[in-house]
Amino acid sequence: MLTIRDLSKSYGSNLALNQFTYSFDHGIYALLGPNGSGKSTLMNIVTQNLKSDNGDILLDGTPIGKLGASYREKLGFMPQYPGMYPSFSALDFLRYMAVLKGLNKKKADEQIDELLHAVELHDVRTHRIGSFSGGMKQRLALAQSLLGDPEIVILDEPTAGLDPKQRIAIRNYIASVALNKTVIIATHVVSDVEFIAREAIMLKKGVISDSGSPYELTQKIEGQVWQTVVAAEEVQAMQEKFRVVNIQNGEQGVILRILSDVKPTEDSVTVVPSLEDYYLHVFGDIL
Amino acid sequence: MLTVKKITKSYRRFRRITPALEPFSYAFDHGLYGILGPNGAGKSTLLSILARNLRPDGGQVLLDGEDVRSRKTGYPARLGYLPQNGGGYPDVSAEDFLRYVAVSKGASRTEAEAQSHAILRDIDLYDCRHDRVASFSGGTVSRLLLAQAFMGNPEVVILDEPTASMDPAWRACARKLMAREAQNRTVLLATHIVSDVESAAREVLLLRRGRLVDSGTPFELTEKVRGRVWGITVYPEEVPTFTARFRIAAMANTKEGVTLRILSNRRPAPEAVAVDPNLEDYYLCFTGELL
Repeated sequence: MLTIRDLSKSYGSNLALNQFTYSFDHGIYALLGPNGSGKSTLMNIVTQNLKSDNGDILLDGTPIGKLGASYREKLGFMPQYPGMYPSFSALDFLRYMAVLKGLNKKKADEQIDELLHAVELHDVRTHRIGSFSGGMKQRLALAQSLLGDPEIVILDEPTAGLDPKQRIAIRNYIASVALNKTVIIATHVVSDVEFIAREAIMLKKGVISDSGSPYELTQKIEGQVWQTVVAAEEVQAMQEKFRVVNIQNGEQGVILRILSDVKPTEDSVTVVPSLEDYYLHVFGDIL
Repeated sequence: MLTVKKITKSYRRFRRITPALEPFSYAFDHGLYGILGPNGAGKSTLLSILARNLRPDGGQVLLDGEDVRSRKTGYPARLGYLPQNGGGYPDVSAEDFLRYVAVSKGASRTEAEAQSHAILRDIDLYDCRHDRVASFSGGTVSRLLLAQAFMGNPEVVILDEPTASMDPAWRACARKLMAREAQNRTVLLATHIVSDVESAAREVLLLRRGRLVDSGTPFELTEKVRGRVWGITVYPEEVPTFTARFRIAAMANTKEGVTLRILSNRRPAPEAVAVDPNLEDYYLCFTGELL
């Protein structure tokens, strides 16, 4: 159980994180919020890459400062822009990281083999990282974060740059390893966490503006998400009048998905709200 | 009109010569063209060649019938380009950066000012237009980089994953901007976020392993998978059985249980109902062997 109490951090006059308090049990926790809402700051503090101004982080009741190296052994981290050595092969990189994490060589080799299969890099394990595409590096970085079977795994935008198919594969993989771990994921792709997250935390300017299971959150806007079909010429006008969150071409015209307290048009019907609808409800003031 | 004739390109990769682009031909008129495909399909190679940033092994790119490599076409001034992971911008204010780009495309000082002010309002950076670009967060920079591609009123705009680091609210805003700007110019947009192009694209091109495998309006493409997309609500315990047997395009928790969106040629279960397909369903069906 990871407990965070009153964590704050400012950069000059900019309060990036303001008295963040939360308890994380096993399962996947999604951190959602616009750029600059404090997601990366929080992750950097939890991974001890950044010092907080004040507040505590406790693992099973013990402050992590007291746990020292034994905390870091229980921690896996995939940063947003992972730096990797271009001249290393994928296999060498993972072996090297295993040494840095102080893992037993034989056990590490077994796990590396498993991980390379899971992220579909086994066939290219001896190729240089420099020759990898962005998506391959991303998957290697994810594998690295799971080395040593850590209890707490922190993933900063794990699916950025992946194509839709890889995203689904990675999402399923993360879900399968999260059963006996605490996994904290920051992401801009809300649909990646919609199903797999136990709870979603909405961060706004360093403060938790809301949190709960995806279902609890989407229930809050039940009846406020509408679907209507309009002619192509009407789309612009509808966008000016309403918060249009999605546009799709359909057989009878253009299908609009609209967030609104009131029924936007005579023939609008309510639809089941998604977590992305809720996100746009909270953060979509620019629309 | 941007006409592409049989361009090809190969790279040395993993100690082998791999074709990155097989003879590719297409004619782009005004409007938004979405370019979809898995990583490594050749999207960035294609866009780099069209932006004259990479030399093809063979073939030609013509703007209104003139080769873009010939000097008299004046292509660089008629082109707006946002490369993938764009960066390396000078350390100046947001406004100076946009004005610089506009002037470099041949806009007058007054035009440059008017254009940059208008677009700064669109991307909600007008109030911090005097701030240094270097002080912006990644997401803010990506908005600015998208905006610069439209400076100087270019006829052709090439965008390689412009929304990759934007949050959902900004992505929705960027979509509106791109749709508006594509009304009187050619905009090519490569993306992994299929919904970026679903609504506004005139045509969508699907690339796979360096080859153009399909193209058409989003509606035409989506219709190809009608009858192959199913919805069903199951108990959470049943989910693994379905994920093991079928391709799952999406899952969501609902009051009644877990709603699965299944891609399958036949009805996956008696209670499953056929649902309206979307472009992502098409993408997932047509990029082959899945998960």
